[in-house]
Amino acid sequence: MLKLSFRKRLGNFQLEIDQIITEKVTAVLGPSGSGKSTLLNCVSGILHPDEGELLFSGQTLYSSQQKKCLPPEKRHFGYVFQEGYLFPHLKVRQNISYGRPRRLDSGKRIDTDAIIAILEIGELLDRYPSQLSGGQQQRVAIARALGMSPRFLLMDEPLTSLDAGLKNRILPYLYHIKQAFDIPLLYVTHSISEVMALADEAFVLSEGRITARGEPHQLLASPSALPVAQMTGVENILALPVVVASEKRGVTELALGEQRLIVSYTKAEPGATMPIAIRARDIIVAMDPDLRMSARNILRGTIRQIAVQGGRVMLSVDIEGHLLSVEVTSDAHEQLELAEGTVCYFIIKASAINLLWEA
Amino acid sequence: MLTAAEVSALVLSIKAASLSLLLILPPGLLIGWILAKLSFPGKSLLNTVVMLPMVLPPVVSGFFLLILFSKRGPIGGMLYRFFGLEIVFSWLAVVLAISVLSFPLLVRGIVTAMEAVNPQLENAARTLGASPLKVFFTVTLPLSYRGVIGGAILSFSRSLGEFGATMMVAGNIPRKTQTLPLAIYNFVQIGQDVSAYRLVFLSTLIAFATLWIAERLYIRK
Repeated sequence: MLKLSFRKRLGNFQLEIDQIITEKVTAVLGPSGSGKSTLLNCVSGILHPDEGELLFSGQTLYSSQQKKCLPPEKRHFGYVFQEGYLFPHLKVRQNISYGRPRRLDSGKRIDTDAIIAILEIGELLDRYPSQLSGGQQQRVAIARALGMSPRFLLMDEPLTSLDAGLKNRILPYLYHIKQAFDIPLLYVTHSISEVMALADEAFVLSEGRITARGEPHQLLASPSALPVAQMTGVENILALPVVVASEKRGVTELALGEQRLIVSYTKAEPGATMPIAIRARDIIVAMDPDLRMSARNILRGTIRQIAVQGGRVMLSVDIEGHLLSVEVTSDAHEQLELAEGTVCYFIIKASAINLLWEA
Repeated sequence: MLTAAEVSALVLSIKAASLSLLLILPPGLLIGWILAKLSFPGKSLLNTVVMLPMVLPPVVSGFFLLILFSKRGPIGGMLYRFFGLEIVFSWLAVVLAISVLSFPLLVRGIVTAMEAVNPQLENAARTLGASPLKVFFTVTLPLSYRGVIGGAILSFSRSLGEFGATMMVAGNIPRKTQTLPLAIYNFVQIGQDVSAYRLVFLSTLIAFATLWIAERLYIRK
């Protein structure tokens, strides 16, 4: 159990947190500048908060009232930095063994060989960090943090500096770590798919405050996730129940009220909830449903709100009670005579619907 | 070959510069680390005080040392009363003068080298359980040692060339406080040009060698 209740001011920015973390894997989602790194730096002891208290399993890490601040080396919190920050003058082996494993207070101690095996870095032990690829460096950084047998593991966007292919290769390692070692993890990211893959609970951090928290699927489907969606460039995030998944037809059908949303086939049990993301500009507005076309999704909805932002027009559309953002050009807005209350049809290509999570 | 007077000047210079380097290295590392890694009120004042001998005329620095360390001076008086030490015009005065005058160069080199060490690496080491002292010896120093050695070499050669301050506080006593530059000055004054030439040649050789080594250490990063 980690209790965070503190304030920290850095220049014009203020971080204000008042939360208790109990889940095994907690993700903090937020755009850059939202205070994610400041949060981790305060938890790790690299930064001193200005006021408040931090408790871990009954131990005071920081308390402004008691004028107490445990230095980082006494907290035994592993920290995986976004940039890795491996020691360039030490070989991989020495990097991993740098952190002195804690005394065996709980009888738990992570076996270094197991870490090396799970992260598949056995071949790299005699190399220097400069001789490693980005993905290898990041795996070694994770191994180094685990090597000290931390009581708690902090990860600051460990996959952000990597390209998509590498991400997909390292994510399973993180999942393995979650399964193999019983260490609570605070994972900071702005990637929804990472949160979906790893987290038991997610927080949304926005301008230094936690604006929402909850189980990832529900959280990302709720309106409070809007800042998350915006920072990832995805305006629409929905969690919809699976109706049927047909491998033969190559599609999975999701229920959007009475209507159906068809996405590319993913194996899923009927009734399972599937979170999806659709960009506002990938939705086409039509006044007439009887067009012959290849797009499989033609949804009927009502325009609730129209917001003109420069050359773009954002429509807030109600489809069976779900609010979706749709982007049209101002030209289309005028030609189609769109107005609040207009009933029209929304066309979405199945390939424009991103599955956030494999069911 | 060299005459006894020339050998004595050479040996004295090298001995004094080596001892001085040994003496100023620990405080140089400490102050260099403080200036490179900490921020606190009065930091620029500390920096100015440490760097002052680099810009003051050496004779002026020597004059201050003379006042401070003479038998009636505030520091020299105490040393004399408690330890019976007389610094001024002794061999130790040479060490004192060149230490003070070469200290800024050493610190400058250390600060530049340590500032280049990413503080996040040091933070990472702290989170891995390393005390600040362990971080210094296992991360900061290994990653800055070239710059530290470079600064040490430069301050060593500055020591070998020190003239003004040494003259003020140690005098120019043959075989006792007469260092290489002082001996050259002396030989020229009394017309022993051959001796002067030989020492000038030696001085140039030493300066060239040290600078060259320092340069190579800086370049081969």
